[in-house]
Amino acid sequence: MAITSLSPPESEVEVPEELKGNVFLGTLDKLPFIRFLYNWGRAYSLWPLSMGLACCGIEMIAAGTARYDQDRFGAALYRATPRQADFMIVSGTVTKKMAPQIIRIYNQMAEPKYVISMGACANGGGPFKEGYNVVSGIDKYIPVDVYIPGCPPTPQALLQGIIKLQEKIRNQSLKTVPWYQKDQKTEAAPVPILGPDIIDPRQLPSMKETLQKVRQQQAEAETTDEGEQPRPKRVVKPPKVPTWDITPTDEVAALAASINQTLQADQAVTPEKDTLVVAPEHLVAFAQHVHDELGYDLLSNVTGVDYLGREGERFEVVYHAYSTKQPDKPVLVFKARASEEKPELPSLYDVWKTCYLQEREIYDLYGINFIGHPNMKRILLWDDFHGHPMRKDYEEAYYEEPVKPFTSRWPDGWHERAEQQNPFGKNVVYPEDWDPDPRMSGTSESYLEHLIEARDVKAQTDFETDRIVLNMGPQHPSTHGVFRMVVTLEGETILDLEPVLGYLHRNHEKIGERNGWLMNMPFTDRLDYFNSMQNNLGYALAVEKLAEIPVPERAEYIRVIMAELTRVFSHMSLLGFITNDLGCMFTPLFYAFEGRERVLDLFEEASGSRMMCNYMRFGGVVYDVSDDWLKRAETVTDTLERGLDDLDILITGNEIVLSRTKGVGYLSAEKLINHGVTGPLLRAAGVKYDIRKVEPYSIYDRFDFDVPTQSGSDVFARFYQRILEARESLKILRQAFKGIKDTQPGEILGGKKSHTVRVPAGEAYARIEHSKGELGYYLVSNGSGNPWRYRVRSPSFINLNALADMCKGGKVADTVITFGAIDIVLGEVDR
Amino acid sequence: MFGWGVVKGLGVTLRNFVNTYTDDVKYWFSPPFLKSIGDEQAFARRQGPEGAGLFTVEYPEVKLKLPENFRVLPFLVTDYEVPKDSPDFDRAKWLEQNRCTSCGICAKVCPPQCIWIVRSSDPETGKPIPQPAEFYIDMDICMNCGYCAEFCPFDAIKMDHDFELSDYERKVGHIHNLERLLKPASYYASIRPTWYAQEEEARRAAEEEKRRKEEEKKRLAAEKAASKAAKHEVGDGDKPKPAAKPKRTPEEIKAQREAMLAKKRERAEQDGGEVASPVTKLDDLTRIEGIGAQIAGLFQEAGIITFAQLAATEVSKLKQILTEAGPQFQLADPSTWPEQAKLAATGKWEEFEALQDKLKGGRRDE
Repeated sequence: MAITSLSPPESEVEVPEELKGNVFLGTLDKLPFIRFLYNWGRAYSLWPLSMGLACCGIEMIAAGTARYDQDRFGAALYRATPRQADFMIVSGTVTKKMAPQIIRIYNQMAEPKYVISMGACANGGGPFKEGYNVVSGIDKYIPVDVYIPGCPPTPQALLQGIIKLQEKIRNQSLKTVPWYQKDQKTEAAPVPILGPDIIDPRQLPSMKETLQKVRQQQAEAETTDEGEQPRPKRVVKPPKVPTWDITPTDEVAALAASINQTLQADQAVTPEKDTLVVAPEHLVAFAQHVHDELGYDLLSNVTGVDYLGREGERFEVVYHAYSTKQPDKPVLVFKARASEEKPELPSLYDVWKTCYLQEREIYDLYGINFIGHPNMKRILLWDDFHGHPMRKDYEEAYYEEPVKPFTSRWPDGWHERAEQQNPFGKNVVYPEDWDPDPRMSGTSESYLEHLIEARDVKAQTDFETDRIVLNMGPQHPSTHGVFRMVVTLEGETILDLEPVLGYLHRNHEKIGERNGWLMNMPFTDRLDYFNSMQNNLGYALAVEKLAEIPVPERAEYIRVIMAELTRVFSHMSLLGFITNDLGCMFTPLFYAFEGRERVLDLFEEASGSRMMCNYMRFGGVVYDVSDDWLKRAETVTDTLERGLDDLDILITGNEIVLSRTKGVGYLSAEKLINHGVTGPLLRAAGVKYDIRKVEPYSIYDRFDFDVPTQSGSDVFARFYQRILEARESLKILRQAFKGIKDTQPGEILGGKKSHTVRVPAGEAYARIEHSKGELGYYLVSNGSGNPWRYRVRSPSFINLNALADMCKGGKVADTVITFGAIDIVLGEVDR
Repeated sequence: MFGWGVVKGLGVTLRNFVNTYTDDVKYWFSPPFLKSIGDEQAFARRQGPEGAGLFTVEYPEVKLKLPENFRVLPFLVTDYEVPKDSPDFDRAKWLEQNRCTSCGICAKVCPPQCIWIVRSSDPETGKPIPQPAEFYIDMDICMNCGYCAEFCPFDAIKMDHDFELSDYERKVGHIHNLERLLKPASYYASIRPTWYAQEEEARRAAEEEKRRKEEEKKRLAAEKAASKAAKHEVGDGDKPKPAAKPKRTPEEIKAQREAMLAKKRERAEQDGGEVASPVTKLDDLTRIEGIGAQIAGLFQEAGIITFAQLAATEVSKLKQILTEAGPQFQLADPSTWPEQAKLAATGKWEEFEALQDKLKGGRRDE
């Protein structure tokens, strides 16, 4: 059509100086048809690199499934590799630990390449912006073409973003696109370095001067401001140290006396309210006694608390132990205290293996050293990281005030981005005595070190072969998020496996202690982003326990309905994902996601959001559900049952699935309990332990349902266990739909609705049977509007304790499904 | 037979494939007969709870129906309906009829603290006006939790339905200011009709109630004024009033302010939210030892409404206010008030109480 204009007269075309050698392209660009064809081809065969980092990643997957069918745009051939990828969807929170990997992968992509930043976190840090491990937007390091706001954006919003990107591509001119410029070499994006904090290599040369200038300014400000009033913004009353009545209860006093007698020490154990305080020197003996003699075989929760400003020892480590053999035994809470000068305690790793990850976490966040732990290293942050962030006196880069709400927001809230106040324009703070070396390289040292260490594991065997260290993740399609395993191999056989976490550590607990009680509710949505309703429920229960808020009947029913609907689709999604890991791409996942979509439609109508429901409140739920909604929910229950049947036929009887999963990843029930594993994994090993039965919360004692168990304790059993449990959930749902009819509509909230919630001083631990295991919240209140300690005992994180033992001796391909069958969600693992 | 499980699985996928067609035929032959299988009704059925077969929504041509409760990013509601591009558009009115009173509850309840509000104040007196001078929401921080809308006592901030917000840049466009946030109430009514209707109903009832109360108040105020005037005449005869004394009595001013804000408070009470108007946001000056309700009223007239302002005022100025007000305040001694107020303003309540324990009737015991 435009052939005649192939050689336009010289005078008409103004060829810029830099394009003199590029006449061909310049000419082509003049041809509307060629240009159209070129851009049309590029715009409609866009292959995405899925950088699914967090919650938004799930909506990204949802956009690829049957309902939204991203393939209609020619943009759904998801790949986890830069190879042949045209654009990268950075979806989710970019953490400092993950940022180097993202940028390295971006650099490996070939031109032309584009970046879509999906969700508030990837755009600018999102709700986690203030966190110490969060990058304030991926565009700090790589250029972004399209930003999709929302938290999380719905799949439709992602599709709109892709349309926007296609528009951009269609309007590009061959003449100006950077990858055809002759003299213009595209430079690789700077890969950040993990030093005491994240370091942008572009800032390295001038970093020393900037640091000096900042320190000088600080010193000046300190001297000149003397005598004057300090800035009003910083004058904030520090939070009150929590204290409460510690008169021991009779049972605990009696227990303490008997234990003291057994241990033959007078002061080994002191009772305090309903807890025991154990002297550090007797801790191991005490633990051994409790484990062996008293039958507390499940150490469910280990956490640190920093009582800064309290008399006596500053740090406290709290242990919550249960008994699976005698489930009616009350929880045993014991504490050990460590001083500020010498933060050390004996490790209980030899008694309960579950301490492996949990004690490391306490070391990382509180700096308490556990003597006798086999691998006392940082776990969520990297080795060089500066400071222990959960300590009360740790101030991160965007620190404003100890508690929210911040005074700078109202009444004189002139908006200012937190970056503008930082001398580096980023979420970074460097220690005062740190001396940056401009020759620092982009390779993190701890990364190499880790590989070398893993290679040395079990180096003395009689059979001499080459050992290989294989690194899986954090950007890997089968790690269900940003999780990394360092595997030592001999041939195909796994000798050792070390999980590396923290790539999605977004400082949930640190932010949670600054938040008000109510503010934490939407944050819990983002823990296990498949399960927001159950996360809400657990947190609401913990606060209700502490503040003694009544919950009306109808709200209880609604809570159960929401929690069980969540459980069904969570289990269904797992079945889909695990078949994906087996190599059966997409069909079961699409069927599972169809069920999920139908449930999410219900959630969206009831709560306003698909994934991040923020639906529960202290004392009930926020909105009532209509009769019409309940009727449809009942229909959805039937649809879900059909879906489950389909998945059952599709997977359970399938010979290929059977031969891949039977006998793989076996671990005995005793070991699982010792590792702290709970939930479907434990029941698949034959242990009938379900918190809904042994310690019924909400109104679960009213429903008639079974606790199914399996005996295999292999991947297949774990797998099938989910189907059985989902069926039990359907049973509960049907009873709940009947029961809710007798309740009064509108009565959904006990207590007074207020935006300022105050909780009496004290501590509480509430746990629920989450789809993945025991989800517990440990709270310490000082009586004010903010929690002093807010700890999430997440099942995904603690279940990972058993991963290494499950995989040892197996093959690499089996690792993938063994890991898949644990069913982790990274938001909950790293928090 | 080995392999039968695989075959059965293939059967499931086949059934899912055929489902669309059998479902279409079933739907087509169900009464009323011969309806379209491509219209909205058929689409809603297929997306609904019992739908079977093809599940795809062909966005952007077809969009999922959003439930009323759906929430993405907040916006502010103004009762001024004239569109911005119209020649009749009056900016002052548009801002004035904004429902927000800048009470700050949304900024306080916001979990990631993404709301910044600048409260307006009267340029002459410095008193706060129930209007935001500026209102920012940083949507790179907002987590779409909906707390601001849930706890707003004035129905002023609501969650939007517009999710198609993709953009090529974020530095400017992602900070929503007042200009960008304000949307007319009719838009709100269009996205959330039932909520809007309920709120309007509640407001009508509240206004009715308010009118009734106001009349009562006026009546009471008139009676009071009359009785006071009578008292005055009996008391000090034709003594001229102090020149600096305001023309209106404190009661009148109070009543006026009450009337202005009663409407908003009524609405708040109706919604079960907390009463939060600038009046309640004023610091309770009577907490200062030595200041009673009357003196607090005097200070409010003089523009001293917060502890901070009181702390910053000279003792001599306070004395002046008191002497000008009349002989009944002669005994009051304001010498320690700024000191007390300073502690109260910075939230040092423990020290504040300790100081008050030392004082006797607001005076230092010498």
